[in-house]
Amino acid sequence: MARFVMVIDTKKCVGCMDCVVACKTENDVPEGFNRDWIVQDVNGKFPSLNMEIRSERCNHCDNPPCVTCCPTGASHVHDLGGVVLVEYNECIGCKACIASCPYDARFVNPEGYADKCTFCIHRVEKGEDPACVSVCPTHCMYFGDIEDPNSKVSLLLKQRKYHNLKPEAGTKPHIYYLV
Amino acid sequence: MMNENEIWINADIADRYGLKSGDFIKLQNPDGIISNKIKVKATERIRTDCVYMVHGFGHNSKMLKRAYMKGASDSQLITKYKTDPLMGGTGMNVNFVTFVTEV
Repeated sequence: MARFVMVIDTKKCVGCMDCVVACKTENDVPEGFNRDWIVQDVNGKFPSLNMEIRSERCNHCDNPPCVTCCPTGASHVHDLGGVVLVEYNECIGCKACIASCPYDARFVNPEGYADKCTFCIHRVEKGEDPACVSVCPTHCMYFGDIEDPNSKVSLLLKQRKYHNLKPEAGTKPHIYYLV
Repeated sequence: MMNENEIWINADIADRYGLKSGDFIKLQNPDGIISNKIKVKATERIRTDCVYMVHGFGHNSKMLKRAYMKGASDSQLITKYKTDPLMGGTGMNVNFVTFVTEV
């Protein structure tokens, strides 16, 4: 069994937004909406400031509230890699999942269904990386199987300090930010 | 990658003028030029004696449908400058603005 994750090195991310553009192009994301986005997290008081730049998206959680709250089962966990997906034809647009996601990762596609990052599963199934990972100019993004102890993502998580977003939400997110 | 530019104002200065992020103000320079209205970004990421805005906004041609009247123009406010007679470089670091809070 594989478990796909993303590991993103915040020390190398410059917030260029190539990942945002790549995703919009690859997945035909409608204008005004985003499956991924850049956050500039600034803390402190001038002049003692620090900033973390993050490329954020759906965290493909182990404990996804967006799946448990879905009345039709359109929102589900894919058989491969623990990827959380939406079966668009079964989605009734009730927006329970939009409300349930603590990361605001989902949006309502103008065609009437809930939409979000799919880890570019259509590319992954062909052995390619997600679009965002493949265009990153600083190569700060990694995608792989955390259940393979020799994968790049597993090795990075052993070697470097990292954090997840909102661990207190209990969702068990699977995007790891190296610090 | 943005719809409009924002004017970055140091958070303490913004407080002093009663401004918060999302408010709209205009900028006025000593030569009497007043900019289009621009959204305030109160932030720790700038010093107290400066304001910052991304260049390239504040267009006033209706033909630029996506850009028309979005944000403000920094170049419109730069009315004091000297040009080097040999290579054309400009000295522009002498331009100041005040806030116009009624928009």
